[in-house]
Amino acid sequence: MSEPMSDLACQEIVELVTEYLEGDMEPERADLFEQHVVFCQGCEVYLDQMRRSIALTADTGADGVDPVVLDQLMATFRSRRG
Amino acid sequence: MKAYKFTRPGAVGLLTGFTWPRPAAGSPGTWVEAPEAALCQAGIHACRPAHLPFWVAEELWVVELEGEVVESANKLVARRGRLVERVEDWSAGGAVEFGKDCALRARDLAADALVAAGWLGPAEELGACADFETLPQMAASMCRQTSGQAALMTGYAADSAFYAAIGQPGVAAYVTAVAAGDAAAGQRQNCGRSPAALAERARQAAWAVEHLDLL
Repeated sequence: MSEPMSDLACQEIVELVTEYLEGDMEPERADLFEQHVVFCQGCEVYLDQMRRSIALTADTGADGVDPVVLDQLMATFRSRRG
Repeated sequence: MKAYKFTRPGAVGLLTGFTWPRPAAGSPGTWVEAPEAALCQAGIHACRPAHLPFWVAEELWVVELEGEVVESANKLVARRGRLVERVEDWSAGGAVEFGKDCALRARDLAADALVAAGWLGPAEELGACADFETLPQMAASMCRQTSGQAALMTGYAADSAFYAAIGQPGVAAYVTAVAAGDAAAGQRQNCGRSPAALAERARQAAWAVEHLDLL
């Protein structure tokens, strides 16, 4: 029998939120994620903000973005990924 | 099948923000249907009594589930569900008492750790304290004065008592479960799912069944 997973800290919730919202998280980890969010007010607010942001930007395509801004955004994303 | 469900005030679902149709005039709320029952993804999420301590929130409801029901270690997921009635005792003091009961369990674990470390006087003083205006500070003070396992356990006792005192019983319950796990392990594990932590969760569920007259 494997060891139970460690509980998640707030920083891990932030890192995992996209994976959770996209439904890509394995059930045991999703369970830990949800249990943390239920009793952590800060993470509950963060999850709600992410959901709202995704909903608000769902209809936004790259076509409407200024090319200069788009280049800056892509450069920023690439630099963050290393 | 009959089950239970915690929500935010106003029957607002945890995590989803979905506002559930409430019972009215003695009749259950209308049925809510999901396209499928998939753990953590889709479906009507609910609890057996044993699952409740993991999902503590402001309102507790009796729910009825229909169709396919999938069960994991700490939740149920069904295709259809509706709110049947609110567990009034939970909101009318039960939640506060639940949090305090958890905190007193953490206090007792801390007192045991103090005894093991030879701090007999503080152990007796802490073990006798049930005043929630005093307990958090007393345990925190002992945490600062001790070391090792005694400091760890008095720290948990302080945290659990603090959250119970400010009306966050779910956090108090979680802290106590982690404390029980660490007490059994003799060291910090950061895991609310060790066998001892789960045994504490079962104790918490038994408290809820007994004091809220569930099932």
